[in-house]
Amino acid sequence: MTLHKTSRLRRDWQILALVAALLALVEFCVSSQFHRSVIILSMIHSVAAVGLTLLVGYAGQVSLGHGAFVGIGAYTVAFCLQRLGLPVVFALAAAVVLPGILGFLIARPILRLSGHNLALGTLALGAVFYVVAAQVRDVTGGLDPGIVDLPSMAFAGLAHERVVFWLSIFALCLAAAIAASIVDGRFGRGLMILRSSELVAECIGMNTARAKSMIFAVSASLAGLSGGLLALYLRSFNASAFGVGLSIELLMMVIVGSLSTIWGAMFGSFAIIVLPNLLEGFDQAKQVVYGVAMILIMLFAPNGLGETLFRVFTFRRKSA
Amino acid sequence: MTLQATLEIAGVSKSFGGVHAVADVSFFMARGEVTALIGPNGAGKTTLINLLTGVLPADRGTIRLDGRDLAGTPAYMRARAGIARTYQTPQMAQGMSVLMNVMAGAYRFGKHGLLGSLLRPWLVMADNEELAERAGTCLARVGVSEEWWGRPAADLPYGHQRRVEIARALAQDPKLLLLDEPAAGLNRSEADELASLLVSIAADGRAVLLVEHDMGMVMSISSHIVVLNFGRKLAEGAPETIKADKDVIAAYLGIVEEVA
Repeated sequence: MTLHKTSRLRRDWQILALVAALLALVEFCVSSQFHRSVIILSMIHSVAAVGLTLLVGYAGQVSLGHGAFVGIGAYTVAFCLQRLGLPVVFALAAAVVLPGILGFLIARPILRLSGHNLALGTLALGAVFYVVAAQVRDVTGGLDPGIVDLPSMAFAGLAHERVVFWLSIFALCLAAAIAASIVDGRFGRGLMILRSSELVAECIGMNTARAKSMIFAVSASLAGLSGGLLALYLRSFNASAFGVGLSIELLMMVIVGSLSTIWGAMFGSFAIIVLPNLLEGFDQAKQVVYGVAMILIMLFAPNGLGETLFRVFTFRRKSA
Repeated sequence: MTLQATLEIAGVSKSFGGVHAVADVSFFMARGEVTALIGPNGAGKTTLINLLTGVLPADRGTIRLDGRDLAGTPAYMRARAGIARTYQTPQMAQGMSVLMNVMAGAYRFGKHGLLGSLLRPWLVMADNEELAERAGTCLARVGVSEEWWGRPAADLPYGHQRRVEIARALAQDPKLLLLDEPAAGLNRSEADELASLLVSIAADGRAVLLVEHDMGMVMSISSHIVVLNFGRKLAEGAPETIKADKDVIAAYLGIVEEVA
C-alpha cells in the first residue's frame, strides 16, 4: 500500500490515542493549581473549537455566534442539576442534544446567508442570546446572581478539579473521535468540496442545504458539551461569560490553530487561553501586544500557527 | 434502426430578463454515443448544461433521463439519478489530494452517512477503501498515474486537472456525462488522447454530451451534432450534414444574407 492510500482515519485515531495519553500524563504530573486551571480551560474550549473547525474549516461556513451554543449547554447543565436533580451524565447528554437540535433548526434559515452576511447573521445570533440570557432570570438568574453553587464534582476521593480534568479529557477525545470520523469519511470529503464550490458539491449528489444544517448541528452540539463542562468546572457563572467575546475567541482558536485539521483547534485553544496569561507582564500594554501577536499570526501563518509550526518542524527534520 | 433515447429533452427554455438564453430546445441523445453541442460564443451551450444538471431551473420543458422527468428536481437529485459533469475551468477542491477529489465524486456510492460514521467508524474505513479503489480505477482510466494521486489536486498542471475532473465525473458512474469544453487549453496530442478517452467512455454504454470548440475533435468522434445559435436550435444531424449546412456555416462565419 502506498502512502496516500493508507487510511487518514487510522492516522487520526493514532494521534487521538497519543493526545489522550499525553493529557492523562499531564493530569498525573501537574500539581500547580494555576497550571491545572489553564489546562482544563484549554481542553474545555478545545471541545467547542474542534466542532467549530468542522463548520468553519471544513464546510467553509463562518460562525461568530457559537458562544451562544456554549451558553445553552452551560444553562442546560445548570437546569438539569439544580431544577431537575438529574445525574451529571444526563445533564451533559442534554447539553449535547439540546444545542444540537436548536442548531439544526437555526441552520436552515441562517445558512442561506454566506460570507460576510453569514458572519453578521451569526454575530447577531450570539448578541441576541446574550440579551435573552441576561433577561430570562427564571432560568439563568440574569447577570446577578446568575447561576450559583452548582454541586462540586468531587468524587471517590478525587478533588473537584481532578474530576473535571478527567471529564474534560474524555469529552475532548470524544469530540476529536467524532470529528475524525466525519472529516475522514464520505461526508467530510463532501464538505471539503462544498467549501470550494457549492455547485460542484450539488453536482456530485450532495444535498448541500441539508449537509450544512447537519454540520452546523454537530458543531453546536460540541459547543454545548463544552458549555456543559464549563458550567461544571466554574460552578458559578452568568451570561457575560457567553457574549460575543467568547464567540470571537472560539473563532480565533480555530484560525490560530489550523483551518484544515481538527488537531489545530486544540493547539489554538491552548494558545488563546495561555497567551493572555503570558502577557500579564506587559500590564497596560497587554491588549496591544495581544492584538499585534494576532496580526503577526495572520500575516505569517495564514494557515494557522499550529500548521505552520508543524510544517517548519518537519521541513527542518527532512533537510537535516 | 431505433436507438433507445437515454436523454430526451423537449421544449427546454430559459430566459434571463428579456434575454432568451435557451429557447425551445429539443433533441435526444442515445446511450453509447457522443453527441456534440456546438455553436458560437454566447449561443447558450453552458446555460443548457446548467439546465440539464439542475444548477439552473428551466422555465419550461421536459428533461427525461431513461424516461424519468427530471425537470424541477434539484441538482443533487439529478446527480444521484446519473448525471455527471465537468466544468469550463477545472474545479479542483482546495486542500484535497487528487485521489480524495475523485473519491468525493463517488459520494453517492458511499454506504455510511453522518450518523453512521459517528456510531460505527469501522464502516467508514471499509467504505473508504472501497471508494479509494473505485477512484483509483477511474484515475488510471483517464491516464493520471499513481505518482500524482497523493498531491494536492489544485497544484496539478492544467491538463492533468482536466483529466482528474473527468475521473471525478466517472466515479459517479453516470448514465449521462456532460463535458463543458474539455479540450480547451490542451495541446494536440493531449486533445487526441482525450478524444479516444471520450469514445471509450461512450462505449461503456453512457451518453456523452460534448460542448467543444475544437471542430476537428467534434467532427471525428460525434455521432450526432446539435447546433445552437442565440439560444435556439439551428440544426442537428450527423457530422457530414452539419458540415454542409448553410445556416451553420453562416452562423459561424457571420454571413447574414447573400449579396444580391
